[in-house]
Amino acid sequence: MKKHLKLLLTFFRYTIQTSMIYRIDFIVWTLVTVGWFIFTVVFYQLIFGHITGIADWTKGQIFVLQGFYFVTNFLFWGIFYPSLEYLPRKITKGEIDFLLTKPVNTQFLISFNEFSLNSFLDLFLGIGLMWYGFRLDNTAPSLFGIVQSILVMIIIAMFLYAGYFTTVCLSFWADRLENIVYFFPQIREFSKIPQQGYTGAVKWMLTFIIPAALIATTPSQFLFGDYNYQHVAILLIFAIMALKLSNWVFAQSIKKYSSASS
Amino acid sequence: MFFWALFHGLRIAAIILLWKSIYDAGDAVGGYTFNQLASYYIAVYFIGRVTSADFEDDYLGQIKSGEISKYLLKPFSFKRLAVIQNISWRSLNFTVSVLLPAIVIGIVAPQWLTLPSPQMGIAIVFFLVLSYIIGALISLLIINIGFFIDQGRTLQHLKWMLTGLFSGSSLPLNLYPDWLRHIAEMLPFQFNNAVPIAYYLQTPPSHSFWYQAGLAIVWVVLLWIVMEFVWVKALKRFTAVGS
Repeated sequence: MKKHLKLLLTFFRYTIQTSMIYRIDFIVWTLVTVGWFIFTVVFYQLIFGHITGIADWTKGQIFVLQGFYFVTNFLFWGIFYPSLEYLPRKITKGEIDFLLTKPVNTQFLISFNEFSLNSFLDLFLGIGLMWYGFRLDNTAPSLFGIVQSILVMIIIAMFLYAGYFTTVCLSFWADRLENIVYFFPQIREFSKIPQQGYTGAVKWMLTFIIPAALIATTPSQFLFGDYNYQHVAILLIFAIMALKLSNWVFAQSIKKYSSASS
Repeated sequence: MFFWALFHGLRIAAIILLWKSIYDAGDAVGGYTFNQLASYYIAVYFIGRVTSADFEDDYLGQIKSGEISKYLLKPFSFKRLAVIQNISWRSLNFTVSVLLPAIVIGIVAPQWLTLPSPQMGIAIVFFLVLSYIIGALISLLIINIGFFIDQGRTLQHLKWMLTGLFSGSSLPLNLYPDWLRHIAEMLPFQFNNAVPIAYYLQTPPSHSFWYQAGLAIVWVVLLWIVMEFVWVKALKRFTAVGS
């Protein structure tokens, strides 16, 4: 554990150094993030010019929900994506050898060797949206709610990481699956609506088959003081199952992997 | 191929479900009915599958590693090759990402599919072709800029963001606030979705056909000049090692 933390710190320091070198990338990523942020604010301001609520959620609550969506943006583009981005290409070129021979857990090394400093902006903008949402409703979350919401977010991060890693591992099995890195993050699109906004089979599917509808809804509800532990249990089960599945899929994938180098 | 279709399909499904949850509450936005909005987003999906030319991704990594040399040393135009390869991929992709979903939607929700008149059909094809050319030129421009910066992929994300914001793929442009709509109507991204969809759904276009066609051609010329200029500079700058 200590060794892994030390490595994470080293990788993070490396991220800071590279971010300072590639300043144009830093600026462009910032523009991308701010652009999506502006669009989100304009989109919901505009919609709420015509409606009073979505699935009984007020305008402020919807902004809190969008805030959590931005937090998941940070998780994907800031934490998971930078390391996994080139995994399909590395597999094709047989460059995984360099990681397999290191005396550290290979899945850890593949998953967390690089971060994106500029995606931290997503985190801050997400928190800003939440603050704005509460301000609109003239309310504030309790400390108990905030702590529980953070814990729920950790469970969600585990689920998202494991699901993402498992899908990216498919590139071990098929050639030229480079766009696979964009596929799993797309399930978060279903988290932009409160889970209560879905009906029938879609609601059931997005709660019990792939709990995408809970990704932003559940931590938001905890901030509102609505402690839905049933949803947390579902997310926890999925997170554990997804982690186990990712370990198993990776082990099977490595068996299939054959180096292209010496 | 399959993943791209699923990727865009999921996005459109999520947007339609968002609107459904809004309309379930009995609200209406901008005079649209739910079925009209659903038709709009279905059109966004189909038109996007034809017009988007996201081929820069394949080449940016090769510029970084120097492998792009294999194209530059051959006696044919790299740019032409990139476009032709993308068109052939897109033609193959057509069955999976356009025909099959169209059949499924035609069976499940035929009210979301519209058959345009022959006259409108010609206008749609005209703008689809221009839109693809604009998309291809932007992709080539990003590839060319990739010779100057290390992480060219960030530009691809910038393009996606601008397309999401100004093409009308996330929201019909006539629902935008005036200031944002005016900006969108000046930029080339509207040809990616908003303009062909206006003809497809036979909604009144914001400007005349000739104005929009002229603007699209101006953008094609402008992008072509900039792309060629950066290409010449990029070739002078490029160095690679190895065989």
